[in-house]
Formats: sequence, C-alpha cells, structure tokens
Amino acid sequence: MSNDIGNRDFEEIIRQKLDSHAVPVPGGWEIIKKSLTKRRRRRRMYFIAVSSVAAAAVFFAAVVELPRAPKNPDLPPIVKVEDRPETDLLPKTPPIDDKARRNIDVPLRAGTQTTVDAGDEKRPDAELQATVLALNRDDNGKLAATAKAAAAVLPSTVSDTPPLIRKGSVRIAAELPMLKMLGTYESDSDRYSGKLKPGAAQGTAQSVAQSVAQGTAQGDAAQTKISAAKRLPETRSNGWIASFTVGAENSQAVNSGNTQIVAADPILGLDENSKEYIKNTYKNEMMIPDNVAPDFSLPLSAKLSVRKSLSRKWAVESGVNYTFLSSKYQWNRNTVKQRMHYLGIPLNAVYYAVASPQWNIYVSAGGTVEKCLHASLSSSERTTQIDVRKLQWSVNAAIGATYKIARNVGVFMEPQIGYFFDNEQPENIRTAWPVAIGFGAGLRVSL
Amino acid sequence: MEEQLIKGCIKKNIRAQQQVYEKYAPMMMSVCLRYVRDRNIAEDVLQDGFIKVFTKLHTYSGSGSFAGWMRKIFVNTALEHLRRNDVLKYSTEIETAFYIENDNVSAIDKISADELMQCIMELPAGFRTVFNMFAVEGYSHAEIAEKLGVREGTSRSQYARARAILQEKILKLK
Repeated sequence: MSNDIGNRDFEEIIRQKLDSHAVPVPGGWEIIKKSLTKRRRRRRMYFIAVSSVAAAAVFFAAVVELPRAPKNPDLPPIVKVEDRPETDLLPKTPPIDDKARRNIDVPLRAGTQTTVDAGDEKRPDAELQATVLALNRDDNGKLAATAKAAAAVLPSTVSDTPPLIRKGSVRIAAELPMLKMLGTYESDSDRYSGKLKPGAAQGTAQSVAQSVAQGTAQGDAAQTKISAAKRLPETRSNGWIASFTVGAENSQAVNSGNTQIVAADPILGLDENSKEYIKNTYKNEMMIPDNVAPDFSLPLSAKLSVRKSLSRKWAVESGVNYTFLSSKYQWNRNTVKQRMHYLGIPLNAVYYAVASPQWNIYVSAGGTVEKCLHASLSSSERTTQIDVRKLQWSVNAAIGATYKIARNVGVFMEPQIGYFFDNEQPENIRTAWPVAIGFGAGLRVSL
Repeated sequence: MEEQLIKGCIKKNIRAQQQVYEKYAPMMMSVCLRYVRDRNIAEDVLQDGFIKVFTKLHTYSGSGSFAGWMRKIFVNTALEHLRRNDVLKYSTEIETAFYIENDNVSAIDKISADELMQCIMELPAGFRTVFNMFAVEGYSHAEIAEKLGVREGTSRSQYARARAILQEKILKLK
C-alpha cells in the first residue's frame, strides 16, 4: 500500500516538474510554413488537374457530342463509316453486273424503307432491298426526306471502295456491312441496332445516309480518310491540331529548401543599376523592407496553340499563352500583393513516341518568349504599377499523352519542366526558382 | 482567445498557425526531446508533429485541453519515429538495475526540471520510452504494451528498471 502511494507521489512529482517544461526552438516556424505552403500548392495542383479534365469533359459533351445527338429518337442512329475497320467495309457478297447499278432519285420521308430492284435482270437468289434513310434539314429546320442516288447501295458498286458521298460539307455515309443480304430485320429495334434475322433468305441492302442533296460517290476520298485515321489520329486530316491547355507550375517542387531569396538580397542575378531601378520603382515606393521575403502563389496559365504535323513522328507547335503570377509581402500588420500578367508565344518541336488510333504519347521541347502586360503592387491604401520593359525568355520540355475521345477531339495531360532565364523581371517565383515543374491538361481538336 | 486561434488554424490562416506554433513549440520540443534524445531529430519530429496538428485540427473535439491533445500527437509522432528506426528493438539492455525505496522520492522534488530532463534523456531508449509514457503521459501498462507491441509484463518490468536507474542518477546529482 505504502509502495503504491510512493509510486503515485513519484509519478505526480515527475508530471508536475515536466508538465510546463519548455525548450526554446529558434527558427523552426519558417520550415513548417514552407512545408504547409507546399502541401497547399500540391493540393491546388491536383485540384487544377482534376478540374481541367472535368472541364475538358464538359466542354466535349457540350460542344462536340450534344449537337451530334439525334434530334428525333425515332430515327435510326447514324453509323460512321470511318470508325469501322477497313475489312468490315469490304463487300461480302459477289458483285453483280453493271445493270444492277441504279440511281435512286425518289423523295422519301425520313425512316421510310423502300425496295430497289437490282436491275432489269432480277437476281434469282434474293430480292434486293435498300433502305435509304435520308435526313436533310432545310432552312426552316424541318426534316425533309430526300434520298438521292446512292450508287453505293447496290452491291455492284461495293467491290471497289467503300462509298462516301459528299456534297459540300454534307456527308452521306453508306453502311456497307449492312449490304450483306443475309436477311431482314426481325423488329424495329433490331433494325436500329443492325441485328439481322438469322436464316432469312431474302437479301436486304440498307444504306444509312445523312443529308442527301445530290450524291456523288467518292470512294477514293473515303479510303484515304480511313487509312489516314489508322495511321495517326491527330494527323489524319490536314495535319493541323488546335489545343486549349490550362496548367500550373510549382517551382517549389524542385527547389524546396532553397531559402536564399529570403532577406538580404531579394533580387538575384541583376546588376546594381537594375536592382536600384526595380527597388526604386516599386519596392521602395510601397515601403517594403528589403528583408521581407514574398510568399509566392502557384503560377496559373492558359494556352491556345496549333500544332502542324511535319511527318508521322514530328510536329511543330506554337500559339499564345497567358500566365498569371502573384505573390504577397507580409510584415508586421502590412500586406502588399503583387500581380503580374504575362502573354507569351511558345514554339515547340513535338515528337510522337507512341501513336495509336486511340491515343498517343509525345515529347516536346522548345522555348517561349513572354511579355509582361501588366504588373502592379497593391496594399489596402495604394496601388503602384510596375513597368517591365524586358521580355522573359524560357526553355521548356514536356511529356504528354493524348487520348482520343471523339473522331477529332482528344484530351491530353502534360507534365512539364521549364527554365526561366534571368531577364531583369520584377521579383517573382520564376526569378526566385528558375526551374519550374508544371502540369497542363486540355483538349486537342484536329482541324 | 485559444478558441479563436484554433478556428483560425482550421481555416488555414497562416498567422493563427504561427501563433499556435510560437505558443506551444517550446513545450512540445520538451516532449520530443524526452523521447528522441538527439536535438536535430527532435526538431524533425517537432515539425512533423506540427504539420499533423495543423492538418488534423478539425478532428479536435474541444472536450479536453488543447495542449493535452497536441501532446498526444507529438508523443505518437515520436513513437512513430522510434518504431521506424527500430530504436525500441535495439535499445540497450540494462543488466543490473536496483530498486530504491520510496522514501527517496523527496530527492526528486529537490532537483530542477532541466536536471530531471537530463536524467530522463540519459536513459536507454526502451526504458526512456516506457518511463515517459507511464510516468509522464499517464498511459497504463496495457496501453503501452499495445502501442509498443510488447507484453504488459515487459512494460511493467521496463518501467521499474527505468525508475530505479533514474533514482540512482538523481541521487548522484545531489
């Protein structure tokens, strides 16, 4: 019992003595502050990345997919010839003679099914049927049904190339695999899904056509298009690709622990005249003490660019990008915010390391020149403009992946690394940490 | 005042975080040093602990004292470090330890907190850890056994031996 009381006394005394014991910790806060800031920037990076992808998806849905959705649910879906494998487009039935070739020039209502004779000499094995679904939207927005002469719908024409009939920007797509003449549809739903009634002896040819005005078969064009699509999705048309990118750089990711910008000489690498110029122009004007280090925010950028394919593997890219840099000086109870807006022109060489019809991986490298359009320092009391005369030059490299989400549209993600040269810019995150790691994401559209 | 600081920290206000750090860092450094003898490592543990405090502050219910809640975080952070570096596994075994009667408790009362800290820091890592957890933090032997992955009996015997060595050191100070 006395031993227990003794134990409790012992532990109680120990606790009392050590409870408020303290050991001074000089200078620890700066490290913790940097660590916390870095975590926030990393979270912001993830947020930006996810938002970019989400925005790209929404953009795609709103701008690309929705207008393509069928307006009338009763109409059969439009089948894209280009997306089918080339082998599927080849005829599976023996060709018939030229007499079978026949134009159809009969106005039809949308969804109407009609039977077309194969010629004067009817085929003994089956009655040829063709369903021509023609949708033509006139100026009043009404659906008019017009079917025009798809020579392609007849089997005799399919022995050469898959037909693609064009009139201006309007396209007729004839779905050749449907000309298999194996049977008839069992039901409407089957008709829309392309499922044929098994064992039916009656041959059926169906052409799914869109916007028929005056059909002209252009098999060569279609074939060219198909082979180009197989070659490289982004270079399949005329080799031009436009892209929209949003991104951010995180210089601290590669420069953590570098605290040399703090205090004594906040403007590094400039000659004395430049230092005096910059200090006199804005820091002194805002009464910012020399030993106050700025807190830099994550640089944010948006870029519109075009890429021109030079060959299967190489492309050049240029465009225009906008970057927003901000930082904050805080001392005692004072806060001064610095905001800088840059507009730049990048020029990059792009090499496609891996390319498939659905996706590709590429590396790019090049340089960018940027002009500061507007820079200012502002406190609660006053604002002063910073006159930035020199251009900011930088070099950069990136590795990216593009995933094709539609025929002409792809989403991409692109980690980047860049180096910003010392071009006498006002103190900003790039002058403090010239090496920056960034992340970009966006949409690419083949033109 | 403290409530305002906590709210500010939850909102990621950097000034509030700095004030919390300045207020509690010396006290928490003492906790870290009791577990991790090396000052540089203790500073690392202190930084890790504060990062945890600031990122998990929203889980503080407000029922107990804020300092007590923080102390637990720093103890756990220090234990994580010891476990990660196998310090507990390879702690020096004390072959001879002797027990000093409780009437010598008064000797502890006569030394300063700094002297007591120094004596605790000189204990081997395993003994020091169990001693800190039981005598200072108030964990039961069952809790210590669970946290350190040892048997409850091991915790009891380690504590008894740690206490004996500590008392011997204190007597030598006098």
